[in-house]
Amino acid sequence: MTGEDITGQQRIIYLITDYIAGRLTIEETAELDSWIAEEPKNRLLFEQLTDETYRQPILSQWKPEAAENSLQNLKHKISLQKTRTLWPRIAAAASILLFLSIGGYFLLHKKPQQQLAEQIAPVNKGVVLTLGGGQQIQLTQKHQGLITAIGNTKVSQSDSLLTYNGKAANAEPAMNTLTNNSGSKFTLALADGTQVFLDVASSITYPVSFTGKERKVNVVGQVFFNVKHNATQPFLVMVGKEKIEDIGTEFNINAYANEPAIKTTLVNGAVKVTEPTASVILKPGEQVIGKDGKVTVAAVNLEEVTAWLQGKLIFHRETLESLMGKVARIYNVNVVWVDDVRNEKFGGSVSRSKKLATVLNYFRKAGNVDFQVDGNTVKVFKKKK
Amino acid sequence: MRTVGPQIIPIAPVILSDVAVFDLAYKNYYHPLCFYAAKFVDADDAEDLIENLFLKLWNKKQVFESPAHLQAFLYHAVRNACLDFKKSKKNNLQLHEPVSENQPLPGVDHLQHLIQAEVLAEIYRAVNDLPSQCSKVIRMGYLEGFNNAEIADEMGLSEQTVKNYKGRGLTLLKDKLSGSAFTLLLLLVHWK
Repeated sequence: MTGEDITGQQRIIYLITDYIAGRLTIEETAELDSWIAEEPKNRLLFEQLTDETYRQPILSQWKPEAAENSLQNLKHKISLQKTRTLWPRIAAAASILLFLSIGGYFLLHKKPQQQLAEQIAPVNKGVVLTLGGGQQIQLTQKHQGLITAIGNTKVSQSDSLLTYNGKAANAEPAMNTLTNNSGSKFTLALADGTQVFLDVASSITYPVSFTGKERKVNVVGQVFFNVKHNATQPFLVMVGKEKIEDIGTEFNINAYANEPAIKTTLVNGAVKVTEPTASVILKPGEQVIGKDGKVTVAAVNLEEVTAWLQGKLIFHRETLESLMGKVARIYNVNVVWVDDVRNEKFGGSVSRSKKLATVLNYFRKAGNVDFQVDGNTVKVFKKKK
Repeated sequence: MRTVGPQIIPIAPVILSDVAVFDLAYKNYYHPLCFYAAKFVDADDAEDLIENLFLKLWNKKQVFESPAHLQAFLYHAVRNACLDFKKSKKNNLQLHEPVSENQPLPGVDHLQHLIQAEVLAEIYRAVNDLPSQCSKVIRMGYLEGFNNAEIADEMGLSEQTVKNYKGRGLTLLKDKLSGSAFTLLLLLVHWK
């Protein structure tokens, strides 16, 4: 970047900012216009920056507290090196003393926990297939081949995909249950070609083949469906007392036992959601929240809802309570609220394959919260000033 | 020509060994530089790179001839630090490149990223330079999209007080931005 380069950019920054604030002179407006016309990418940039829906999500994440925290962090680093340059020997001696006096304690008590926090990775306890007779088969994510045959149906695995293939039998088909106990998603292809994606701590119970008037499955946890539509044999998902009926569809269900409500989000097509006392037909981009037998519908951010399929956690103004619920499942840890910071809100995006410590650090840096990891318990504190 | 808003670092030259100047520069550039760096490297690494860069600047007791000079230097240095960082990572034969949440858009170059970061930063600085309560109300109301009742609840204030702060904040913003012409007021109204 040469001096000329950056000077040119600074002029553009000034012009765009003042355009947004509405205080450009006629000459300046002409100057900005000619820059915009220079190259298509200039126009793109201009349109992006003058679009509030582009700016707002970014600016809402630029928290002054995060900058302040980072500055304090840096000052701490500065003060440490100051001690070293001024008093190298004393510092060395002091650190040895410090190590001898309290270091032992930390080594014995604190250190292993700290290391553990660094090392806690997303839970990986594989996937369990429970057959009709109650027999359980433990699946590992890396496996290829035939798992079992049930009547005319063959069950085969290809890494994180389990596929059911075969003709429907005349007899009542057996019910199988698939449970995902690992942090990465697992895919199931049902006998009718419907695809089911299971998130961590989620399971589905389904017949090995579909006979009769309808195709009915039961789910717990977070599950994404891509249903093979068949008008003569509707697809029904039961979640507790709630019934979700597919009308040609991709949809996401979030129904963990420890969450207060069942959330069904429609990505494509149409679904009908029926609770004991109410029912609603969803449009794409809408989410229905089923609670206490009633339903409420709201528009949601689909990227956020389906981020888990891409191995991400995306959130906007989400409470720490809700986020820690997700963290608890992904890392298989317990959360203890030492201070009530449940309603602190966060926005952002993190990869779900990161270590627990990285994720906690993210929240620490962005907000007024602190954590301590003891074994598999995460204690949550308010940050001490 | 106003290259860095008057509300940021009004004096030239910029002497970073002055703690107050250093703090101000850090707070004003932390987010835009992180945003810019995240176009090249992982967001977590970006934060570390920014901290280390400022640590070096502090140790060198660097003086810049103007705020514009500081601005140019910072973006230049961050970009170099990111490129060095990526190179050293490659040399370490890292098999698993961390997933960067801000992959650079193809065809958009770093100068475009710089413009992006600094236009956003201008808005951020103007809002956050208000007195703290005011700034918090303006931020929650206009940047984070909370309504008056939610802000009142969160800050333990009455709704009327929130409204008062909003009014005062907008007036202050108007004064903050140079005299004759329009102000960010318009821009804030856009957000509503």
